[in-house]
Amino acid sequence: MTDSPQIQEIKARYKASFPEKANMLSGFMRVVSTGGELTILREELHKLAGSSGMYSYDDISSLCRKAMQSIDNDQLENLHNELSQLINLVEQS
Amino acid sequence: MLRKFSRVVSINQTQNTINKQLVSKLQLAYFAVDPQMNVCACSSNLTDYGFPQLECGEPIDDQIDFMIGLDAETELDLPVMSSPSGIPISINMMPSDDQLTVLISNASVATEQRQMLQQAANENELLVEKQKKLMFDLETASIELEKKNTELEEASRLQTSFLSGVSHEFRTPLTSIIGYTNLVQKGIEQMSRQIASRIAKQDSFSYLNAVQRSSKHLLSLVENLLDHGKLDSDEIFIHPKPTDLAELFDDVELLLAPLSQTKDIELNVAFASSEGNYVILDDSRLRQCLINLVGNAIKFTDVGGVELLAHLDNEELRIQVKDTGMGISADNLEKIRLPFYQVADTGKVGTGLGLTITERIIDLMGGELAIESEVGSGTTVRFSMPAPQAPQEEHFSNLAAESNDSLKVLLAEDDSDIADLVTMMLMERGVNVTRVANGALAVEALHNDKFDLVLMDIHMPIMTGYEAIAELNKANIKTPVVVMSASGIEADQKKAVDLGCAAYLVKPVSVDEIIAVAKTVMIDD
Amino acid sequence: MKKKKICMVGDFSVGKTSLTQKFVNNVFSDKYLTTVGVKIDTVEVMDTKLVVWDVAGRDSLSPINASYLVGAAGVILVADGTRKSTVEGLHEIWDTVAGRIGEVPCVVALNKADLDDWNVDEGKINDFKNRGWSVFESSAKDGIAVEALFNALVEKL
Repeated sequence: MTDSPQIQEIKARYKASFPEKANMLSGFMRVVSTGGELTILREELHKLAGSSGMYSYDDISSLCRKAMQSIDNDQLENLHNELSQLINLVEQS
Repeated sequence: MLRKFSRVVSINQTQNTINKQLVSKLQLAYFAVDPQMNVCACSSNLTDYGFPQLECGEPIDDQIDFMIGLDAETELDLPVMSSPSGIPISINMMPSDDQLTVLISNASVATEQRQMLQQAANENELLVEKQKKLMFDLETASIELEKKNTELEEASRLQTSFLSGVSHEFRTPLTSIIGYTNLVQKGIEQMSRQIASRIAKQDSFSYLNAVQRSSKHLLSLVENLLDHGKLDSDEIFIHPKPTDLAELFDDVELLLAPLSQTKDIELNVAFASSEGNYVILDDSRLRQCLINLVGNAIKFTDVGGVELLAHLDNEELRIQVKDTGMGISADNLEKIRLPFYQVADTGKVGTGLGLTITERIIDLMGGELAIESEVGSGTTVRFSMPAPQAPQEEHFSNLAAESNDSLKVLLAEDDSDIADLVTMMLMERGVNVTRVANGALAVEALHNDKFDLVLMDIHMPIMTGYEAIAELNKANIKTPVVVMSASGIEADQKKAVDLGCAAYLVKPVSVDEIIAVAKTVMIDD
Repeated sequence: MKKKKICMVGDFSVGKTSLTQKFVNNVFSDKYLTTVGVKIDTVEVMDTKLVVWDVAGRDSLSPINASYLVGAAGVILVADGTRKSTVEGLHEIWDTVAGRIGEVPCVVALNKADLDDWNVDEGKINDFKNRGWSVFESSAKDGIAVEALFNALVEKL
């Protein structure tokens, strides 16, 4: 089933927000490298995991979840890698 | 020689005079101590060996180190000792009634020979030891290498047989698709030439059905391959949701019956429950496992039949798939769980992935797969998994099934990206949607208006989904609530169930899913 | 000052002379030079004058001459941690010691700990410890545990 023009428009709008999202995530790279507070990053990842999944960007969604897990388990090295992968992925999507 | 000489000395020692000429000729030095270990006699040439000039009447162990710890009663021969001057000496201690006489003689010649001999022998032995060790290391390395080689060969054999299996599997349905589409084309040509005959039409339908079957089979093959890729990267997710088990088993029977009919064997599917049919689990993953296991059983059974027994009891679903097929040898039982492994000489084809994927999925769903088999008499596969009761029994609204016009949904979601999409998709299905961006607004809306269903996000500002549900419970507002959350954590799901939510959907959620859940949770009154 | 005789015993080329020389004179040489008979050195450890008898190792030509052991207050059993046979041989060597001078205080030096091909299993070490012996993984070359093992023996005397 193809999407209606309205749905297509909503999806395009979501896609257009990716550069802004990538930019926002890049801002957190510094926080991660300097061992800063990660609560807000976790919130943002949670949101992105939900919305990207709904828009069928499954790889973005699952990477968000992985990064959230890394925050929960205090694995900062993994988090650093996942976040930079995520930024790449969001930029390229 | 020394022995002989010492006897001469011991005969003479009682006379208290020693033949000084003889002593000096053989570089023989001596001293004697009394029973209290004080020096009572000594030769003047002790200093030739680097020993001090001894003082009579004084304790020997203050003057000669090697006497420390010794007594006057023990006879001792010390063949070689390095003296303080570095000259090797031989020492002979001879006790008698009233004293211990200690003779010291030059052992240079004997020691030099011994030194050479011993050095050569020991160096040689060290070399032999080193050689043995090297040989051992070499042998270990070669055994290790051989093992690696065998493993590599096995891996490459598996991959080759996998590739040939896959290409065969793909070729069969593809050939059939091409063949049947050809027939349909010819049928259409005929139809255009003649007046459309009923027979041609019916043939075309059955051809198209065949095409569809083949396509579906191809699709499931591709899905298996993709799942295997995900297995490697741990990316298979389980999405439990309310499921009607009776329907699910009916589906499985309908799907697989044609396969058993073509082989002329029995297929018996039986589902029994002591607590209703409505549970929470991932129906599509369970379906995938059952199709794989029952499909396999049919594939390897030529006479007799296949039986799928399922029993739901105490929130546990127990499943048994039993066949009267060729069976699996103990040796192969281990290997069939490996990806790409296929028992040789069965004349059957496949990807060799089905069981690996099935086992992994069952594991993720909280179960464990057990296989029992006897060659020639058949195989039985068992597993069980938790199947908690869904919060409400199915109350299927026929009205809603036909049209969604009657559905009035309140969507509480703070993420406008998600809210936009869900709203639009629901509206396109004829659902009436009201949007709010936090829990407090949702509670307010429900006080002012009547809705059929609430779709509730959990993480929201001002008032979270959980808080809002608690408020609704307090206000005795009974509108069914479906929680949508990005959290797949069990504790969160339990919390939702504890709060009396109708269902818990893990994001991403498709609109079809929302509508299906909406239909099942709406109380038809 | 107390005066005590101790003996270094073990198989050939395990480092008895090297350990003694490192401890007494703080020198080390990589070159293997077999000891014939016995070499005697003295050193003061705490309040004790220690006479160290560096006894020729057991080799294919001859067993340990137990006469050298007479009068010893304690022994250091030395093995080469990279040669399994020298570690396993310590029990037999101990039998020689105990047979001649009784069960005197004893510490074990598993020497050459600086080398890569270390080959001592935990079970053997536990065997030694169960006999009440202190076990040291020593290196005469790097000076590791050398003082500690002599001190440990002196404390037991």
